[in-house]
Amino acid sequence: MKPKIIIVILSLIVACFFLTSCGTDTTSTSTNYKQGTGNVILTTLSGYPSDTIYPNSEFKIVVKVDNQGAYKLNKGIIKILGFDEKYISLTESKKSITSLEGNTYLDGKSSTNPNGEFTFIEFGALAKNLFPGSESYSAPYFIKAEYEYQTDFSQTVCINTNLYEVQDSGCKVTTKTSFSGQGSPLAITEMEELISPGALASVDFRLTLKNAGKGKVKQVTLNKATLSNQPMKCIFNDNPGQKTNSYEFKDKEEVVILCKQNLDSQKASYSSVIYLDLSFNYILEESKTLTLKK
Amino acid sequence: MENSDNTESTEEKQAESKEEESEREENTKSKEKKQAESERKENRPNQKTSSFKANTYSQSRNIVNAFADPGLILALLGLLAFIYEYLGNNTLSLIVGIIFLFYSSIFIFKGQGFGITVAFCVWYIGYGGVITLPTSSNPLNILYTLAYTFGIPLLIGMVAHGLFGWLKKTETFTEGATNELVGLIPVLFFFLDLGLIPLLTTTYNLPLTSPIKELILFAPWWTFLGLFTIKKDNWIITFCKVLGVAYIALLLIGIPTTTYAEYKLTAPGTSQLLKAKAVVQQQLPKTENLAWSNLMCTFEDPSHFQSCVSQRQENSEIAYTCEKINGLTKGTSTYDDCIKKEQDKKKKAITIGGTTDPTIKQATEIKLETEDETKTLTAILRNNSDTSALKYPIQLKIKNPHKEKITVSITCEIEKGTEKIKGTISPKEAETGTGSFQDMTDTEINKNIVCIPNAVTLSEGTYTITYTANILNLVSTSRLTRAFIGQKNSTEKTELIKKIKSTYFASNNAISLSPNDPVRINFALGEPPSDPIIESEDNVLLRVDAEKTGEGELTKIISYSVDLNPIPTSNCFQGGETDYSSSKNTFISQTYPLASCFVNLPNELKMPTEEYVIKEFTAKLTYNYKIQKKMGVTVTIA
Repeated sequence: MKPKIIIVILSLIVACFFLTSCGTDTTSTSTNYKQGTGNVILTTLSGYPSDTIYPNSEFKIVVKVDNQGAYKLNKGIIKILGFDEKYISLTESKKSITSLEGNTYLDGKSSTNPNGEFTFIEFGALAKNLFPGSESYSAPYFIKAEYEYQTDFSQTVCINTNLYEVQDSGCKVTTKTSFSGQGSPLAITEMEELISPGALASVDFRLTLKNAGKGKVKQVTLNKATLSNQPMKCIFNDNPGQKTNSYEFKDKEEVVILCKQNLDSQKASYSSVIYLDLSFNYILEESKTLTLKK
Repeated sequence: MENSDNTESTEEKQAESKEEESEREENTKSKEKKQAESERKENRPNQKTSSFKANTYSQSRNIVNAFADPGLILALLGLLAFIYEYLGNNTLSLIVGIIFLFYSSIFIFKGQGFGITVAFCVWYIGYGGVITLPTSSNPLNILYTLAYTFGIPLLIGMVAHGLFGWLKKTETFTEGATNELVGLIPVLFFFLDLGLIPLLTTTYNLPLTSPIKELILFAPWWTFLGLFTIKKDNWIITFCKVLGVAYIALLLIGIPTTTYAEYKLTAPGTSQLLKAKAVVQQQLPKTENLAWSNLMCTFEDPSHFQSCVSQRQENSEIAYTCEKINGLTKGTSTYDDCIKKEQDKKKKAITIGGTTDPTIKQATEIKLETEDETKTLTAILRNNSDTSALKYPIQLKIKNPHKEKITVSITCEIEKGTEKIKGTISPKEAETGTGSFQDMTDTEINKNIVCIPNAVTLSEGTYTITYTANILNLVSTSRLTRAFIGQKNSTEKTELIKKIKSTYFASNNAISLSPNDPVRINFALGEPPSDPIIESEDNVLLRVDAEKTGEGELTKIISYSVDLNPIPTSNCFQGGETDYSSSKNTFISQTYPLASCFVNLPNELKMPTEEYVIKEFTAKLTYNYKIQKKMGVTVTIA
């Protein structure tokens, strides 16, 4: 009896081992890149510029632009600024961001390109003479990138205009939901749902749009807002006299988007998808220092 | 049996009689006590007087005895030496220091640690005590240097004492060696008194604050050692001890934490210490004693303590300038005018300071040096007209890192009391500033000079030979960085200013930077000139000053110029000669206002195409400078 049980257990273990080993890797297909706060990363290539620059010598500053977000980086410009021309002059201080293949965009992370796309932008520079008697000069500078980026928001919500119906066995309305981001520095971090029941039933959404990245949002445009593929009326809160579909961030770090949709009354609860498509101009800046030495 | 009974009874009787006797004695004693008590009660006033007399006597005896206490003797002598030095006499510092060092080692510490004291003196005075260590920016290395400096004599002393005790069989080797450590105390006080900290500030550039300098320089260290080692105790001594602690406490109030700059490590020699002490004492402005300012402000304005102290210090410095340097009488209108002028100068000086450029290690240096500063010179003349024996050479040392064309002319004078004798300088070209003394461009210039008195007769006594070197065409440059931000809205402006200040002006570089030359040119630009951020709407003011930071005198400003390219040139960007030879400029730090004018910004700076523009401007000063060197010579006629 006992040996039989042992054999059964052993064969089960072996079977489990084979079953798990032969299983397909589902992670690559199930990874959702449109989450978190995906950023574009600006760095200088190691050795360009080198730690020490000698006076009266030419050198290069090579900037690596790495799109670690989930969307396409478009119409990018990169600038080097902050050098005192007396010490360092650049052959060009501004360049367009082009991919290694020569495209005017950089792809974001996706299932076909899980590492995102990066490129190198090269700036020629000339180090000049030090101040008489001086042994070194510390030159702080900034690498500044300006580009167009995007945020897509898609979330399943429950719509229930008949709030007092006890018998409704459909979905349940969640009044407040938080999000970690949509793979972009500008993220919808919170959504509130408010349903007005009755004959003229409607649903209101309050969506908090927040700059969760290290840079600055210049202007955000709401390109599309739908609920169950039906256009939804949305406005940026506290945006008087401005276009309803665009908003200047200025010194603010977040803004609330108010969306409203009229609903059919006396309908049983149902799930629907709210979708927002936002595009914006983003400015990213990295502070660096190079040292001129005798 | 009976006998034995009898014996017992006799013993019992004897015991009884003893008991009775003791009882009687006790009774008598208690009676006497009671009697004494009643007598005491009756005669209380008289007895009180006598006990007071006894106490006073014993206290007076203590005070008298205390005078024989080596600690008190050191305290008093230390105080006298301190007052003597405070009045500006540094000549005896080394001798007095050595005397006190041995005195405290022998009399106060009873010879314990004497080995260390001797070893220290032999090594320090005999061998110069100079050890050079590699340059380091780590503050811990200062401690390492000190440990290393003291380490050698310490080890020799410990081994010697240990061996001596072991051979004499009075103590073990370890006990002897450990007891020897006491010798470190007088050595430490010797260093403190001689000016170790001033040396650290001048040679190692430790940025010690004025209160710390005052604490070290103007504290009677030997008096403190004496006071705290007095064996006898009475109220006067306790009071003096309290005063000593209070003095240090008052000086220490409000000392801010300091950061350490880069410095070189070289163990200090005697001449270095004395020089450094003299330099720092001169550098310190003649202000009210800090301890007194602190005390007064504790009562006057405790809520604004720091500003009160600074104000008192500044007021006293201004008063000193007007009263002592300009010779004005307090209460007169000219005195009041002087106070106003000096206050204005102070305000201006605060707004446009300059500082030493940390990236420039080599600055212009000018020195007149004798071979051994500590030696007293003696000249034995064959007769009173024999002046050949008075030819003591002096060395002119100039560091000219920028290879500027420097011309030097040297004069000398020999004086004794009111008797003043002109001297002739050899070589002759040194006197006229011609030949090899004209347009010198070497980075290091070393020249020997001799002074020959012109007089025919000399008498016995101490003469002072004064060498005066006039250095012509010295040049100092400085630079200033400014950020031009154009026109921005308030939000942008606030953020940008924050970013620029933290990136470009985080350290001390919002003011002009120049090498540590004896005189430098400070300039500032902006609204106010001290503000490094310039906006398009600013009324931009340029201010230019010359600042003397060396020990000598600024005799003339030959020219100055400010290069503000691309700002259009204005008349005040350059200036010609200004003679200061007749003005009194004895303070090391002195400011000479040169120019002040508004400038017009060109479009590229008014409305920069980029977010902001960083520009560095330069200024150049050409000046004449005078230094003096005095040396004492004792003349005896054979």
